[in-house]
Amino acid sequence: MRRRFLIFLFIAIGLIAVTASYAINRGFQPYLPAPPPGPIQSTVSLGGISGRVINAEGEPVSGVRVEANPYPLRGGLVRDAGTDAKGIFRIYNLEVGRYKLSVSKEEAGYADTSNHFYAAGFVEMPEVIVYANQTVSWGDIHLGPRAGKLIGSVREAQTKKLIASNDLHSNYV
Amino acid sequence: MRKFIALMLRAGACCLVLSQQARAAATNTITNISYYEPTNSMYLWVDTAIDYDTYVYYSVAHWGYYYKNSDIMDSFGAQNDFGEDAYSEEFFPYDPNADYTIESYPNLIAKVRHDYGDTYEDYCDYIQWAMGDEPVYYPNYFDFNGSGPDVQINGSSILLGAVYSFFTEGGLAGPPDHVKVVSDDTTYDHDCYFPFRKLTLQVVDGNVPARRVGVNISIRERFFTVEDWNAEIGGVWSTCVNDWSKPSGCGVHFLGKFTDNMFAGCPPPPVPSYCGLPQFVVKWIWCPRGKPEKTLMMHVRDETSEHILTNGSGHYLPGTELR
Repeated sequence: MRRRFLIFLFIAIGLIAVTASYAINRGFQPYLPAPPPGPIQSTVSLGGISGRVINAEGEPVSGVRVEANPYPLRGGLVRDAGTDAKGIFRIYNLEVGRYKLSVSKEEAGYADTSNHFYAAGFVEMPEVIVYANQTVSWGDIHLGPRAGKLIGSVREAQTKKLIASNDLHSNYV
Repeated sequence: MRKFIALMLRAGACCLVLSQQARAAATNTITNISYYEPTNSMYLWVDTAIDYDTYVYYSVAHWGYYYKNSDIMDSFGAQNDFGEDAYSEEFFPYDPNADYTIESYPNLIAKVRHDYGDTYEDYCDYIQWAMGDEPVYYPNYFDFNGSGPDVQINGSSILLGAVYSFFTEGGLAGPPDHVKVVSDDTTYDHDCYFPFRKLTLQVVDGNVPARRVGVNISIRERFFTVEDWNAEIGGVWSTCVNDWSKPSGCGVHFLGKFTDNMFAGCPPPPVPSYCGLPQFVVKWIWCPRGKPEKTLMMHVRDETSEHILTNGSGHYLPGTELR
């Protein structure tokens, strides 16, 4: 009887040790196994955001790209949508949480309002909370001011020859 | 109450019938009739969609009627030229004694009825958007925007017959092939001061020079090991936040432009001196509905608390083409 108890105790301790070891090591496991092939199944709660984009004159603007940037910051592809002829947009399939909305229409001179260099200090990014199975109806979002364009060239100091392929950086002063 | 339940059952049955995906050419129409409690209303909507291959060449539209019993309550109509669904919705006062019905007719409107952009020359990155009445005898206007100098274009050299055309960089864009960098900005998280890299890309075709696609594109991520670029993994462990970083699923991106945020994650205090993800391979993949996927670009990613590198690079210049 005592021998059986000792064997049982030995196996139980062994099992606990293996489980604990797995749990500890899990933190250092670098890769998650590949998902099974087939359509992607979402198991998280999803919601959406809708709204309208207007310019400085209060007119709706079509063809504007609206991005829902997760906040606090998070990696991954950012969900976006475009505005229709009435300036209306709808972004679907957003995970529940907080988002900051940025807008851009580069071809018309409106840079991305999430760009710190362009928008810092004078363009506000609306903050929206998305709830499960609901489309949050946000009001109007303003485009930023039209961006200016700085054109110039870089020349070698002595020879005054043009230098190609420079990576120039600009900073606020 | 019994009347309301009966109505719901009828509305549900109606919804089931109408929700059957009605194929007309290459369109799919879905309708919904439901009760909206907050305003004691009936909520009716219609959504008509087409697949990528169709919306390259067509705009999707629909029109129809909302019925209460056999009476028309209102008509609806919608058109979308950018590859998104045509969508209509309306609320009506709830009548417990009524049957509600949606009658919808999908429609495709041709964008392009001419050859690829070989009827005029490409002047310095022109982007052309042409619109016209239907039927088209002449374009209402051609609007050119670009960085080049003003030039004269002979109107007769542009073939007529186009109702809507998507041209980029002087020609009709082909299928998605790879990506071009729009912007690449690295900032630092306010709390842990770890780098946060925001890379915005434009999907372009295989032409030389590449033309940006003029329609919405579905994109997803897939992760692979560095050792074997075909060995797929479901996620990568971040020692910064002790959680998995998983690839993003298939989502539609406006006019083929998309943003990928790269970030190792911000841990709660005390912030470790070093943490991150093991190197892994990321593939950005075009995932059109009902069509085979295509890899647009792949790179080795190195995300840590100190740097975020893609193929060893911490920054791409705008315009850089990546495959």
